Amino acid sequence: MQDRAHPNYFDLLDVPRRYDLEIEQLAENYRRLQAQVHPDRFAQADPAERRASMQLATQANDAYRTLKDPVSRGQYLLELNGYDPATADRKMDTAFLEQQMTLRANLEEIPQLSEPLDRLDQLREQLAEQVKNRQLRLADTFNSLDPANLAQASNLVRELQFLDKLRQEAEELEEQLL
Amino acid sequence: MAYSDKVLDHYNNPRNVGSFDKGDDSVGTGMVGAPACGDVMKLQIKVNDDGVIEDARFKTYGCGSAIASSSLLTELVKGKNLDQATKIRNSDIAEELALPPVKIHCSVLAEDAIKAAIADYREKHGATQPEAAVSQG
Repeated sequence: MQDRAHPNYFDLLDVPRRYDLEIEQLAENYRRLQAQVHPDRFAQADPAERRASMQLATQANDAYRTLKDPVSRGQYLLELNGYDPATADRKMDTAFLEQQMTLRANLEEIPQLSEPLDRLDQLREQLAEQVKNRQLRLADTFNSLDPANLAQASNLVRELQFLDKLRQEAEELEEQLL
Repeated sequence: MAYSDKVLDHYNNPRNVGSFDKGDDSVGTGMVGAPACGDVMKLQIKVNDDGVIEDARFKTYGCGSAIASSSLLTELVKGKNLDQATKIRNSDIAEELALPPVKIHCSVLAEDAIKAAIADYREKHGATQPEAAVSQG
């Protein structure tokens, strides 16, 4: 699965291969690696070395961007575990989708309410709780190392994608209200 | 990206927005969603005693193409029986609305929605017809 041209992102940034990462450690390792491969340090180097350092800098960017985001980190771990999302059952849990509908409707109504910013804060707290809940379950699922759990992990990642969309919509609404 | 006139028409004047009582025996409800864009779509059909879809409602949170796809779908299914409605393909919707390739998935979502609604109705009526709510992308 790994080769020199495409190292594993976890190894590249020297963090353990798990969902519940220490984000601060990830950021620190990323900054250290970027400093090591900074183009200024290779100004006098030969072209091959310069190219290699630039390639590493690009990979470090990709790795950091992928691992720091809760959704793409989950997708990447699924990929590393050999899970093909194309084979995933696309059907989402009806109760979850209904809840999404309700939250979207609630969000839509906020501008017409009194104290809309307070209402928006409440909704965002609710959202943050749901995101946290899924991230904890996702960490448990990946840590259990049972291949049968990958479908469940994939479902949790997809739920996070919906919640992320709601978060974006809530942010846009806040900008409109302010 | 520019929307086609038909998409804009359905987006600005969506047909059959709303909902039926999902507990009603004559109603089939399809809830579907697309994780990549966060779209959520609810499609409901009201089926008469002859097995013909006499009315439909939808509620969609998503982009203009997703709203237009589900709005058009409610028009397409009215007057069809369940077997005919099962045969509606996402390409029928995509062509009618002139959806660009990046928006084809919105019409796929609409096809999934009508299949899920029909499956729900049939399940209520004890039909032993498991519906594979999966379509060719």
